Amino acid sequence: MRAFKLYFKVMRGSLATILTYIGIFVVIANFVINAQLPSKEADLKIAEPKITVFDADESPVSKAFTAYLTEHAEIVELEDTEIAINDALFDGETYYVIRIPQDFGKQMLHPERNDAELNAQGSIYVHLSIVSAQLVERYNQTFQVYKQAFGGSIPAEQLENTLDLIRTDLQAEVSTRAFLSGETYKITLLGTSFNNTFYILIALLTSVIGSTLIAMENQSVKNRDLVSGIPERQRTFGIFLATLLFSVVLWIFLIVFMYTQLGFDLLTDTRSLWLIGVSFVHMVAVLAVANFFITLMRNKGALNFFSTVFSLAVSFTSGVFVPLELIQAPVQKVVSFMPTVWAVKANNAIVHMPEQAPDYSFVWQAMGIMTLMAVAFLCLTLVLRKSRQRSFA
Amino acid sequence: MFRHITKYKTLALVKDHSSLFWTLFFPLVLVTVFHLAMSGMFSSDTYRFDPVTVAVVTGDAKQEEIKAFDTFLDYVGVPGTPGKEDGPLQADSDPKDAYIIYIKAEPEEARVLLDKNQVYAFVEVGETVTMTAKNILNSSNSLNGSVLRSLLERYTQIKNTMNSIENLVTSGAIRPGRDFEERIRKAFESDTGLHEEDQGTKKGDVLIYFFALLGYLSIFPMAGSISSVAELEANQSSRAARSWLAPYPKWKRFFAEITPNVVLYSILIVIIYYYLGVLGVDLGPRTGYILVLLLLGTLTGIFMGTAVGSLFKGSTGIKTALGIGLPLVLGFFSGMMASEIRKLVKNSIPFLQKINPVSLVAEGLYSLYNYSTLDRYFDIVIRLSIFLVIAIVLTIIGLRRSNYESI
Repeated sequence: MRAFKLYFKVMRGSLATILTYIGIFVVIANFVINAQLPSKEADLKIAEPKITVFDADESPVSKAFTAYLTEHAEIVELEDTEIAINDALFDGETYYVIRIPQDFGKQMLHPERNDAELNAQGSIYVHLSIVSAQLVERYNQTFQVYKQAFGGSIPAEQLENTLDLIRTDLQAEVSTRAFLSGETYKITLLGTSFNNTFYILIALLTSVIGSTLIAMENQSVKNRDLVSGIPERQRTFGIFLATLLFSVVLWIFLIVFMYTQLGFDLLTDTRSLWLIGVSFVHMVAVLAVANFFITLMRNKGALNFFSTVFSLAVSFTSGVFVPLELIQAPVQKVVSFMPTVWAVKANNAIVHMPEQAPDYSFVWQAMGIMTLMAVAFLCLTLVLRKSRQRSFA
Repeated sequence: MFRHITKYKTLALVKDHSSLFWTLFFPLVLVTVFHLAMSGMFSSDTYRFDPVTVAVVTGDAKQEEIKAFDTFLDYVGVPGTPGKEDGPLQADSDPKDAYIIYIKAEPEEARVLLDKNQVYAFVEVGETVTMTAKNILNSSNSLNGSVLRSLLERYTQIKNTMNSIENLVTSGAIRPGRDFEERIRKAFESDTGLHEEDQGTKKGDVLIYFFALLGYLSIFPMAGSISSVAELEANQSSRAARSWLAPYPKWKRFFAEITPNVVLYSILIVIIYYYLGVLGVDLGPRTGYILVLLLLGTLTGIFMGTAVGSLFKGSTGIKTALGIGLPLVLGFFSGMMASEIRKLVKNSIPFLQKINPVSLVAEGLYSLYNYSTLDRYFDIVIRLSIFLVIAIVLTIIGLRRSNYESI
């Protein structure tokens, strides 16, 4: 157990790194989770369109049209400048900017026309741009229907009444309901949070375990241990046990912190337990991978760079930060040799698992692959250590 | 003396092969990985609308309601069949221009389809129309609900309009002619005169990841400059203690130490910019302005490091962790890991976004890419310069008049 104890003594030197990373995780996770937590879980969450209208016509028709938009969307007031409009579209403050030109009213009422010129600018939220365009389309169509009903032109004395009728007709509502309970949203958020812990685990395990291991593998430290009569096998076992213990404690802390944010009641959901299972297997696999690369590298100066590159590269290509469907297929194939991508895929499968007749076969498969990876990397590490020991002897 | 220190600091930087390799290697690897992970988003499919999959339950609805809804379905969608192995609903014909792919189902069947995620929602037709869907945290799927609800509202609105016109006909306000029904039908199908334009906002949404990455990489020298300060403070390194013996002002030694860092990282950020161009990431034609902003960001990063290094007298471990962790956190808040975070920060903590140097560089690059005027760019350059001046002042405060009780 001397190597085991020594490991934790050496690890004290990395306390600052551990606390910094954990502090960063706590702040970020707290911010992200609370910003996305649903307020009313029983209702179906549907994004409402946000529209900006610049009315250059100011006719009764354009005013009625703007009033209709106000009733069906959130109207966002903006300064009419390129920067203000683009900023608002880019930041999602508005999803659609409509410009009503002069003569809009005249064009709408014209007997020969069945539309009027309108300019619009959509945002990156293509769905909400479609919804906004549909709002415009249905007003125009309903207006044209009334125009045709009056024989091609709406009599001036009937205009006000007709505009009121259009507004009343368009006030239809559809009832919406959330399927099962609103907990699905929370479980999805939990799945995303679990994915985010993968990055912290990779970064911390590579940097902290790395710096400690490299210090422990310093030839003079190693010689001292071996001269004192500790067999190499026992020393390796002690070091591995210590890294596992540290990883488990760190993992438990991250899990507990997430549940304090999202609620421990989620633990009653089977999917939540599956997420914990996947996360644990992933942690063990990452530990094995990190151990292998650190044993291979043995350079303390390069460790910080390696840890940052490795954690960011694995996280970006494995779907931790960016959805997997956006990552190119060849990249996905390459990263399938890393456990993280399997953990992310398993988590995605779990959060979308049907409640009736759930099928966890893929999750088992992913956990099996991660376990095999852990075993393979552990064997490689042991072989590498053995060969180094021989070359030194 | 200045030249002497600069020369030997440069030699020390260049001859430390391991650190030099990682200093150069890290940003290039990160950019390559970023490109590999993100280049899929440049595809035009990223912002494509895929029809919403729906199970339609007619249940006990009246025959005329079912007929009306069928007509509506033909107008807005195409029928579909469940995919193999419980896969999502697949359209039976080309779903081009369709808003929905639908399947008629019994209530229990529809629930199973939704439970297995084969459809986004199921819709119950009757006196009122009800849509049921899952609350999920997925940007594209969650927005499907807005489109579907809007379509269903349209169905109800058409019914309202037909009833209103019927009332007008009954009251005698409207006298229908021979082709009345045909004209009404055509009016319902009329197009709007809506002209939509996209001024680069969509591509900008993908590029913001690269803008934030460049912002992060320009602040990244912070870690290197923290260790440079350690070589100035006699209580932090033996080399600094030795150099203190030389009768040479501290501020001159500081600039002599920092100059090789400034040159090295400036060259590096220029290489990264051109390397992105080689990878095919087009950041816009204003190369000069972009490089000025990146170099300003690099200077800010270096002096942020010196400020942290001189103000915090803690252990090297804390400083190293801060040097690596702080740029990563600033990168995270500027949207480097998820562009939605940038929006969350802007809405929740707008002040943080205004002072985050990574965000400032990213927004400056975005403004150069997206705006015809340079007003926003110069505004950001001024803010970043203020940040740089503050970092320099903090460094001076941290470095000046140090007393060492025991070295």
